[in-house]
Amino acid sequence: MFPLASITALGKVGLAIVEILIGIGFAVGLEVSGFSDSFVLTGQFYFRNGRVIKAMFTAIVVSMVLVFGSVALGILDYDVIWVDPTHLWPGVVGAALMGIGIIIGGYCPGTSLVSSTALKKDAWFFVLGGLVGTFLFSETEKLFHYFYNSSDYGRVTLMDVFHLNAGAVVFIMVVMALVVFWLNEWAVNKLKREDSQPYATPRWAAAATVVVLLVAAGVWAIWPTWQQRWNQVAAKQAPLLEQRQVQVSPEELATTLNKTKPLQTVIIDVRDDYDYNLFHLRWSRHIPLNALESAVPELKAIAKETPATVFMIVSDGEAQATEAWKILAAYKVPNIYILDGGLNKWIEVFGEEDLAEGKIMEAKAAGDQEALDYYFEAALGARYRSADMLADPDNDEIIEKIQDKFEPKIKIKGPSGPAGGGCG
Amino acid sequence: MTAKTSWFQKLIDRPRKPYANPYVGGVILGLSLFFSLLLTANGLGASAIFARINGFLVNLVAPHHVDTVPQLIKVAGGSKNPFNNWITWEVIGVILGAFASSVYFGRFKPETPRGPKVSEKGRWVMAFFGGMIFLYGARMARGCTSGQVLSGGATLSAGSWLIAMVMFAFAFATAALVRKLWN
Repeated sequence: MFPLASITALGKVGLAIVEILIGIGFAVGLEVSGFSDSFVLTGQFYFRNGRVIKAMFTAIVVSMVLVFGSVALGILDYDVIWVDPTHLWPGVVGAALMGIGIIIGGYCPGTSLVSSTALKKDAWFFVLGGLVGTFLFSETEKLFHYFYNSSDYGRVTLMDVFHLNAGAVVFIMVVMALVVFWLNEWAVNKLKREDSQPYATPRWAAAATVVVLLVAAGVWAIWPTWQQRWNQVAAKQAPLLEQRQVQVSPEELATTLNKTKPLQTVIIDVRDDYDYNLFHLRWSRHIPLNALESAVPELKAIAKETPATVFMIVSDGEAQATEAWKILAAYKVPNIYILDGGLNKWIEVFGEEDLAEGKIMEAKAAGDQEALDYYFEAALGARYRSADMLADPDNDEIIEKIQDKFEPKIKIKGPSGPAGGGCG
Repeated sequence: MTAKTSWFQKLIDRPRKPYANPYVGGVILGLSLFFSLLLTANGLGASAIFARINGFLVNLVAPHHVDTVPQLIKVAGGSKNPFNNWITWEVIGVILGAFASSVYFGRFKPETPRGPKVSEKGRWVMAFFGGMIFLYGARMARGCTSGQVLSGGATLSAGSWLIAMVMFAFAFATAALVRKLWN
């Protein structure tokens, strides 16, 4: 799978050659579009021409459709490629300065390198000024260090913002780009400026529009569901379930929660509201099964921030948790486990005192596997002794008793893939 | 009495061809960006080379100072070579591609593109200050038109789309305020 496969195969020298070729393509794309000339480039902002919008949005649409088409087909791993992290307010302020700078300066950094090479003298001054600006930034950054590092949302995508799958977002972005193209053409023609000669006849434009829309709709249509993703990884992952290598006993979970080893345990409770309110483990996060898929980016962000994170999926028995495990495995969330026997077994092991006090009563009547085997005096949530092992005064004693009584299953796997990238 | 023209003069004298359809230029850019993400996991970049040249120059003049500035430590701290990065190779490609394309299409000419009401020197001064403002902003936003708008736009980064919109809004607003520069 790309890009790890090509990075490994190419090696250092191969990658350098590929980067040179990519740079050549980048420069040719900018040069033939007219961006080695500041007068042509700024023409967009007076609608003397529509070149910047045409070339930039075409570039975005083409690469976006190819990237997400490749992701949908399982060729490209979206989790590994560089996606600019979001730093909201420094981003907005920086963008405002860039908007001012492109009009005053007539270039942006990429086009200034191309124009400098094409002997445009103003571009040489832009590059010089750019170096001074970079120098000033590195020297003054300490004055607003806090601001520069504020509003850090990490790797947030439009899919996370709008809670849509990437196929749908790609389609919407393509439709939006087509609307922007049409408005841009209209504005340039309306103002009848010198460079408004259309390159394509309306018939060609209509044909291109239809083709682009069809391709984008295709990406949306083939965007894989979690079941399809699971089928791709099932050969490797299903045996772990069958051989019970990921089912962690209540004793091991309790020990892990208590141990001061550098391990973060995130308990994910995937049951519905009713059962969750009756009884849940303290510190658990409630993500009902039907909301789990949209929580995947957040869980991945946690795993990236703290690689030593264990995700422990919990349900009444094991059926729902196993389903949830498949969803997370399909999206390649690392270090995921299931509570062996679910909360029913947890209460069986640790609920002695709650049962004695009558807060929890046995009710093994339901033949349905995926239900609580107990009655509860009230919906106390996590306010049971057995729900909060850490608060138990006899904690040490309990841990002492159980700590050798299980076969440990939890193994932490580190992150894989390159960490850097982008505009570093 | 025909003086032999130098090879450099021959490159400059090639007849100027019109620019291509920008949609075609966009497809070339889009393919370059796609292959960059597919093969190397990186997008396209440009402002980063300014940071690395800056780190290199400061390191030449005041090597101890580098280790006190967070922005410089990243690129040239300790024994780091500021050019030991993929961006260096990409920019070498950019210069090669720009040279080939501008020569081939007869646009490799020493000249100063400018608005009709602006002198050549005036344009140079504006370009200098514009470059200064732009790169200050690009460092603040952690990427420029290529790193944020193109690469972040194509990979659907939320922050990059916000940056793209704010940047275009400010560019159109500034353009309206300084009409005389370019008209």
